Amino acid sequence: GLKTLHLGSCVITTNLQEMRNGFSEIRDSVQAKDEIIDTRILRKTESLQDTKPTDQCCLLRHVLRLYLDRVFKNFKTPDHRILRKTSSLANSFLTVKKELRLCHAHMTCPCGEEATEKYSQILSHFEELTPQAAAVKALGELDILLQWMEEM
Amino acid sequence: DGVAILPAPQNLSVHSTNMKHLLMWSPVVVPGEIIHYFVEYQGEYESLYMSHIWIPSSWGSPTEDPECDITDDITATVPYNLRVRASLGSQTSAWSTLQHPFNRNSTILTPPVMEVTKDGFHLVIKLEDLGPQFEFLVAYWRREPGAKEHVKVVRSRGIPVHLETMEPGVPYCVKVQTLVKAIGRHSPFSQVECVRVQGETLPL
Amino acid sequence: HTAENTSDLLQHVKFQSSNFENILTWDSGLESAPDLVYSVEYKTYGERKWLVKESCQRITRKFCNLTMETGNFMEPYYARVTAISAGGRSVTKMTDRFTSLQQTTIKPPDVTCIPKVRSIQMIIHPTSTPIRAGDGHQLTLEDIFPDLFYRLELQVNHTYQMHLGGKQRDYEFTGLTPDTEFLGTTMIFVPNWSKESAPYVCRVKTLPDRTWT
Repeated sequence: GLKTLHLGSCVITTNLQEMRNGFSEIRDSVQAKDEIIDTRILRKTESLQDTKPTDQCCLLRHVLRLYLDRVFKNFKTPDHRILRKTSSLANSFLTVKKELRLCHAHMTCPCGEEATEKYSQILSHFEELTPQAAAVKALGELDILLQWMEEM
Repeated sequence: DGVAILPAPQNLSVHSTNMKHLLMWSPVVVPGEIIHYFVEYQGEYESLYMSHIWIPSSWGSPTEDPECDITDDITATVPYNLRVRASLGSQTSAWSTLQHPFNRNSTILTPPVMEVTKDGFHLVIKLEDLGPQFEFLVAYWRREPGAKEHVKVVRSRGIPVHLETMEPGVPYCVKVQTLVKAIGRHSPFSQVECVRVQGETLPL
Repeated sequence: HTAENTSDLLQHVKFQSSNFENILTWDSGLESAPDLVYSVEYKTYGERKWLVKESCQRITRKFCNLTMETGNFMEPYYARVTAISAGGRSVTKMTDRFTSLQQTTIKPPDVTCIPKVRSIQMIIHPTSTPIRAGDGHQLTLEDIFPDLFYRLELQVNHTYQMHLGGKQRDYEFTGLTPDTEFLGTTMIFVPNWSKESAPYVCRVKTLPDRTWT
């Protein structure tokens, strides 16, 4: 069912299970496209759950923006089944992003140094790759991001 | 260039009940010919971030009927744009787009079909199977002054389930509503149904 | 890798995992391959270096227990197998990315069904896993999955079921007819991961009612 995420003083609800079910149906085929397995974008050192609560909302908001702006958009596939699933995930992410935007509007989503530093680390891992390879790898790591959110 | 000779489908509308979403339109008629229709959709994400992207519907691309079950396409609680075009051989019509985007949170939720029976002293309820997104909130009570209402969330889909062990001589009443967590809504309660075990005393 | 077609030496390299017991398995494509030996390596996704599984080097069996090596159930791993024939042909194949938290299946629970005159008690025993906490104690499925719950069903004369469920481990179906046979099933559910165990089934008969004899 619905999951409540506690991100510092920002509290949102989201359907993590629906997203996880959707991703599990395409996980193997998406991850198989990622042939660069000795590097990773979402690393433990920058994980959401190891970030101090007041910075968690900002870090998640920036990571979701990365996915919405540069992952789902740059992920190309001729497979309509995968296309539908990524569309469903993208639209669910958009719903989460809207809730985070409300927190931002209510000043409960501040960006401290830790969030800014960790996001820039994630971005640099992302930008080590070509846009297409980064989109494939980041989409393949969606289960890691969902697990981070699960821990909130 | 046979692109726009064929008229575009008209009167698009979505009929959505209990999270089953059906896109319908007026048929394009060419005597003696079979018309095929192609349905495409885009969620709010596509319309905001890549508006040129439209996704072929799971079940309506192509279809011969002037309707398409879009339930498997509408999988997030955001507004969806939908469009249809007709095709006959090499001729294809212009796209016809749903006037207002459709959001699944507008689906009509109806109380489920409920069957209340008894087996000996057991109060048994059977609820229709509406799919995995549905839970049922069952309220039941003894029809007597000051009786307390009990509530149970039931997930059994289409299987008769024991609700309570009854005492003889007192009517037991039941009503039920559906819960859909994905959109955070519930249906109205059903009619109340009551059953009673005749007045034998319960063996100790 | 040799350019020569060696895919027949090795197929279906994958993890088979249940209750976090993670076994790497594979097949040889050949009808019989008496002279084939296999060597296993593994690594965490994102690491550069492949690590050698010492006890699975130049083995002839077609499985290797990597439970300890893939013990962080939230981490994604890869494993790979190299098959070498006596004639020197060899091929290496890798698994899909494997995260046991997502991909492990849940075995049926261990349950004791105790029939009484008008009720049946069902006691569910905790399921331990090979995973150890920081202090070394073995984690149970309940420790790993906070949303885990049990669902018990008692089939009553083929027409309806009695349902009980929750997080506790002791349940009792009451209000039953004495000296009657019932079919009880117990399953483990982990909704967050859409995991559902196969059922544990017990067929029990309530005791005869000797009150008035």
